[in-house]
Amino acid sequence: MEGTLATLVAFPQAGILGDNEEYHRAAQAHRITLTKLSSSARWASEAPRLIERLDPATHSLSYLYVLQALKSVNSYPLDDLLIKLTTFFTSFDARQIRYAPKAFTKLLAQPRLQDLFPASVAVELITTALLQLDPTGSVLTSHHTDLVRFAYMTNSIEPVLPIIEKSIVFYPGMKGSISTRLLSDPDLPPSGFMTVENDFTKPLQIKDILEHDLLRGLCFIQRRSWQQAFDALERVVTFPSRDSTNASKIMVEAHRKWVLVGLLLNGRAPVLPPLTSIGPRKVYEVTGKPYYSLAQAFEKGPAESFKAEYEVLPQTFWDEEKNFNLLKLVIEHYQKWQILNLRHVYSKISLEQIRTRTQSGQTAAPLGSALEIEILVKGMIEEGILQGEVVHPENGGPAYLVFSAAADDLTEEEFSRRMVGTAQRIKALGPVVKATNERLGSNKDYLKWLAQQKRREQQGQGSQGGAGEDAVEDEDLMTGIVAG
Amino acid sequence: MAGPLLEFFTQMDNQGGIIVKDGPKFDLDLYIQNYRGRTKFDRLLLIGRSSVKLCVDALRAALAEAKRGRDTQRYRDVVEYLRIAAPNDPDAVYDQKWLDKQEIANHEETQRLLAELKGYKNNLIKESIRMGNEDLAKHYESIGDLNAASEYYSKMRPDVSTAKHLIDVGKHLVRVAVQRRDWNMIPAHVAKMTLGGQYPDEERNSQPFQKVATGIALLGQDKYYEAALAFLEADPSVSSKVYNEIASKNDVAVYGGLLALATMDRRELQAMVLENQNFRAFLEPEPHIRRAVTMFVNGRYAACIEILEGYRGDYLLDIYLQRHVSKIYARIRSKCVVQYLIPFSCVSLDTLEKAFGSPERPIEEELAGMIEEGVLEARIDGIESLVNTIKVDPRAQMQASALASAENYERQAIERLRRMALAAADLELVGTRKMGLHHQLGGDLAFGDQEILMG
Repeated sequence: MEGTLATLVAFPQAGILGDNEEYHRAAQAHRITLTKLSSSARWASEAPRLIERLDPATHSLSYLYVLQALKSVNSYPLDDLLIKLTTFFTSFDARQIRYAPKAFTKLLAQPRLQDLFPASVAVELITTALLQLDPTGSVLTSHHTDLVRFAYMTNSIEPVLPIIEKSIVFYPGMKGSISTRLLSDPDLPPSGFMTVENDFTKPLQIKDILEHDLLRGLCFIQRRSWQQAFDALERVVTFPSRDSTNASKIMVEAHRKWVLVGLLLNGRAPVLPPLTSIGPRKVYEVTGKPYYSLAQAFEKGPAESFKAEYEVLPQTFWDEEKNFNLLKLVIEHYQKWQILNLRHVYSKISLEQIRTRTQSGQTAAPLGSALEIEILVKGMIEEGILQGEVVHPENGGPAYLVFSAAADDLTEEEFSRRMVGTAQRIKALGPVVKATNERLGSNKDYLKWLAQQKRREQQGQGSQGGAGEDAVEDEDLMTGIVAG
Repeated sequence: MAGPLLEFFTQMDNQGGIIVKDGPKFDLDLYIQNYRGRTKFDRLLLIGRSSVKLCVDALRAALAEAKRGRDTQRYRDVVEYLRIAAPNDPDAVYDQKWLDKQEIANHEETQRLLAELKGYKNNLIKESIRMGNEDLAKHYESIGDLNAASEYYSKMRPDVSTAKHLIDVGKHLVRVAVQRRDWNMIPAHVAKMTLGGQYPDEERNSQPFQKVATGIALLGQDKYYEAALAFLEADPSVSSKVYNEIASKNDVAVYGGLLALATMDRRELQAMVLENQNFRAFLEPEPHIRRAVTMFVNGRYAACIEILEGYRGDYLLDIYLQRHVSKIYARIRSKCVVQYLIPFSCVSLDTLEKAFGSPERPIEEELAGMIEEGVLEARIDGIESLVNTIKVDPRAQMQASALASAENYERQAIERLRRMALAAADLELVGTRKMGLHHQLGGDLAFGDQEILMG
């Protein structure tokens, strides 16, 4: 057992941490050793003792294999196993785990962590683990899709937020994603190792990706983070399509919710972004009709026509489209948006005036008393959608609402804070751009196209006005770029 | 209002007509003398249908006008109106004899002219064909068949041989188009009347006709600013006979002045209306328009509105202006309010009510409407009854736009990277010919109507 332990802690040696090539060789050798060890007869019986002697942060690779064995040993106490799993997933060294994708996947999935832990703990653990592997959160894997589906189904949304708030820009199965760099290179982008080829993920279908973003949208809807929900749904709505007549059912579903969320977010119907492909665009025009006319009435009023718009369709319609609860919120927000719009006209307005000028979305009539308005307005202020305060004058006059003017202009600090924030986020895209560039750099077709561009520039023709053959090449490779 | 008259105007109201209860400031006889041709009848009929005070007089005059002409349909229409509005009037009976005679005569004349034209065509004499077409078209116009008139007028075009002919064709076509309210065609016809500077006399003579017709067409299309420019350019030295088949000199002043007031700022009004020598001549018979413009330029907005309100009834009886009066007045009003507020940062609602108040609508509502439409940059303080104007802060604007473009850049960058990756992974939607994407991808996926709990 001491001999085994010595082997286990032999990697990584302190001396090789800085040398990528050395590290790579040692890691590969160590993995082979571990595979051999794990098939030996004593392995399972020694595992409970071995695990106590290993540090998950330094000897992550060894720890992973031992833990793997413990999971299959039935006699090991469950509570201990859970503690070990938790320590491992929160502290492992991502650089080492790059070498054991299969074992890592197995540890997550067989049996599923979701079955061992309570749902919210499992979600949190997987989220932490995935983010540790890929701090940028830019690569989508089948672990992500499974995780988000599970989190939504079990309503464990809070713990999954850190991962769904990241913007995915890489997908499994990208051509040229096999990096020429070594796995041990600390600068290796996550898209370089979290690949199908490396067994970090199963190949994903279009359906999975659409569903993933739709689910992200639904999670944000649950959280009432309308902006994030809107953005996530928009990703589904604008999903690139080469089909000029049709759209996927998931896209249609997302589009309907997108319109409703847009209403909640901005008080008006959203406009399809220019990137929307032609086929889906046509489909939305038809499938989105009841939603658009509802939005129209929401925006323009009067309240009667808004009420008529949603009442003309039976509740079963909204139920079937799974939008009834969202619709209820839209109806609830109708009056709120009317009040919000008053801030463009008034700086101060009495509650009684608000009462006569706005109508409830449910009854299409003004609320019964100024007190009800006060409750509504105070609720809005608490929710943070309205900046202002309700004032009760000391002389006993009628109460009124003051819209704060400061909401529109920013202070110098606030401005610079937001500006710096954006700049940092753009800077943070640097590695992603670099990774994309690298990926393209190893793509034969792209290089051919680039060489042609260069040649043309040298001949002084500029990059425009290519001949027919180039056009074909361009189209093949740059669809995304040209469309964007 | 007496019984039959009341009934008449109830009917007019139901048909969506505009009804003017006050008596106008003009004299009907003098007014109608300014015009020539078929527009006389149209104008009289409109006044008859709209003005309570002038109803019977105007209808009677229209009836006389119709009987002088050959258009039997007009006669029938006006008698019908008169019978409702004044059943006891001696004129309110069909003159069946005249009608029959006139219809036969019209028919014969049509046949005669058609035969004549056929003869000319056989002889291949261009000038005769042109004249034959013109005669026939004029006849059609006089009996009210405007489609045929338009058709035969345009058939004159291939046979024109002098500049005057060309101008004539244009005038005929424009006149018919104005009667048909075919606003889109008028600029095209007018454009064909230009001669490229080769015949300065003819061009000068037809200039006001072209400008007036263009102005009326643009007015009809709600292009107020362009219409104002057209009227302001008209040449007053040419006799109004040239264009009084569509509008009078007074009309040019009113249309031009009102539209300019509605669309131009004070500097433009000063330069293009008050200091415009040409337009001054038009303004002479309509001094109140000039006064209103002067008031506006001098910043006496309430006085300007007061003058205009005094004439609202008159303008509602104008054949082209009627439909636009309320829109034009509303624009002038809101411009006045905006201009009035410019030098102040804060004005009390009472002051505004005194300056601009109208009995129909409290000023607060009007201001709210203007702010919502974006005409006015201000906020109403409903508690202190104040209007606070908002000074545009260029710094804040710059900051907002900088933030917006930075955020947009970030979004775009991510979106492009994502699309490139999707393209590289071959994950774009591609249709299958057999069943389409709808089924292929749809499955029985449906998420998302859990009770929305958190907040």
